[in-house]
Amino acid sequence: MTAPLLSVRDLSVTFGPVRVLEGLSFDLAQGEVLGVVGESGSGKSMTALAIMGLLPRGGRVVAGRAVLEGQEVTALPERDLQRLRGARMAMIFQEPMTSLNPVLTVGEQVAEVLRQHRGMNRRAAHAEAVKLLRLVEIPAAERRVDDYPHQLSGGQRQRAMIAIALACRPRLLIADEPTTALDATVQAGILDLLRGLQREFGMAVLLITHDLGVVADFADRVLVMYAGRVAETGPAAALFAHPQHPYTRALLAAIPRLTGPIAGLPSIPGVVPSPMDFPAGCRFAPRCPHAHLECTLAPPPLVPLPDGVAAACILHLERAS
Amino acid sequence: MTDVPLIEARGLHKTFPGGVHAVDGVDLRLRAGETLGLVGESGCGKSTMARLLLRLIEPDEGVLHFRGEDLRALGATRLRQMRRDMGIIFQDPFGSLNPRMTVSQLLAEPLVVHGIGNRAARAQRVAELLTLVGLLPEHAARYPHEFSGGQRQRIAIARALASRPALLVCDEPTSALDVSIQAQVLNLLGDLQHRLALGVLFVSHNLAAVRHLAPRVAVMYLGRVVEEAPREAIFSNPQHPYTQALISAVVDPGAPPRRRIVLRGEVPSPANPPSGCGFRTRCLRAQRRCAEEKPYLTEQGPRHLAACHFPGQYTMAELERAGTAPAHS
Repeated sequence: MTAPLLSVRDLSVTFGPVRVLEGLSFDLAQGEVLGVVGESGSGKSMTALAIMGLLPRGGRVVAGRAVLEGQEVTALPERDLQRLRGARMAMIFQEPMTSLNPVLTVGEQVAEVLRQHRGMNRRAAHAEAVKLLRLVEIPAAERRVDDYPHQLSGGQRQRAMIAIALACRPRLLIADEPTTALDATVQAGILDLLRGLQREFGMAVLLITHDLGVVADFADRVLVMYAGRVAETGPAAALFAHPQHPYTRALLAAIPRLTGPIAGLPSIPGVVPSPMDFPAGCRFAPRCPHAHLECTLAPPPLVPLPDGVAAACILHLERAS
Repeated sequence: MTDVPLIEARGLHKTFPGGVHAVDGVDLRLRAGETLGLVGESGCGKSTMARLLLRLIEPDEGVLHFRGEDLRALGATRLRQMRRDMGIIFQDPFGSLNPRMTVSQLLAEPLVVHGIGNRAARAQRVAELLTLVGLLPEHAARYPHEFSGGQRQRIAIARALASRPALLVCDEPTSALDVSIQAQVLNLLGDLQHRLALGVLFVSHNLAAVRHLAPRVAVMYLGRVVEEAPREAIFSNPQHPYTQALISAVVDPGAPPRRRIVLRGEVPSPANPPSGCGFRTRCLRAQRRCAEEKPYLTEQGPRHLAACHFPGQYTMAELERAGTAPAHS
């Protein structure tokens, strides 16, 4: 097997005394789509920002590392990171309106990346920007290139963001809630676009979302996070068909569906704990129907299970031994 | 039959400054104790509709009756009295609760406004309301920031129900909540609807949540209701092309993939809607008649209405001709 494109090992991130991410490990192969799902406070966005070297002020990688194509990105100085960002790894965010610069045209923002990383002159960059906007299926790209972000619809702004992110054909695209702010029918179009481009370029995608539907639609593999740790990981089809961690099971059961019987939703009691008071042991234990004393003593390790699934639950540990 | 609907709107119109025709001739009826789901995407006018029904904003045109009384003709005093029978909750439970008031003050305020009960009776009602929404009477002394998002939404619900309204309007009540919390709040709303025999207008962009709570569903597009039917009919046999696209865009994780209808283009601006049918610019089936003639809601089946000149489910051939994306596995 070839080396993974991105390898994250035992990554931990703190804000002051608060540990928001703990011992996170996963691999992402070339051209693979990994969906990272979790509710608020699960640490999924912090994972993305740590890899990009974009942790907010006060955030620090205190243990572990992220390695992209053999290069330890979590140890690089800002200068080197700047060279990587946009060129080999790029990121798109939930709200394209706040991540696009309102006083520059869309074309100028695409061209900026091209001039910075690919050394193009103004004219060549402009021409390439039009091509990129066409690639992301913005109609009348040659006119739209001179529009400002506010002149575009939400879906088109997200397309423009994707154009900027893809300008240098990165090996890794991190998409943080890329369709959360969009309507369902617009979301469907954006996911189709991302899927097409991902296949065309053989690009790996780290898809971060709270929406299990989006993950089921797009991801090859899934990483379910809860309260700063991995709860379960595995191939999307296997994980959605036979979820192994009580949290994954509860989460899937709690979603209202478009088919099947209509009854009370099996909801998860309580709330996601704040990083200020993560419980000892398994962090899901206070909300888990199967929890017993042992769950509160030590964090359960990820137990490998059939079909490439692994779940961090003591139930599986007991069953295995 | 003394079947006066709880709320009835006919030909409701609302245009905002700038010529934005947010609600363009909508009819809605809600019986006492009934739940109606109102779905649509951003800008379709569903939230404006929710506010019009309570006269939180003034309609420009149309008939609006609450329990047979002409709501539009009421003076300020009578309207305030009527509001006792109406409650509303919003998407953001942070923005709709005054952070400087305790839960007790927040829940008692509607009672004070409507002159219900003395101090002791109100305190008792506050405790009762907290229990009703799954919180504890001890929570009364706390402030909104001490609660999680889901708990705040429970407080908002308790406040909306304080004066024992007959109608509860819910505008995207679970959209800001995590999945595990969304289920709790949906269950609570379903439970309250039954126990209190509430009339509920459930406004949401989340089709699955609407299916869960509402036995009858109306779909809005560009300021108009394009389809309305019992939930079984709307989800298993949608007649309007827009409803079909909307349903096809939802992915149920773990369920077999559906064929997806990807709409071309964008929602037109409500300030400058297309002639004829508002959906025709994105419809796979649009013909000349659709540009010339506005379709009105007509009966497609028992209690099943759709506003389309060429209603009916898309055929496989139509979808293939349009080159829509095949189902993904």
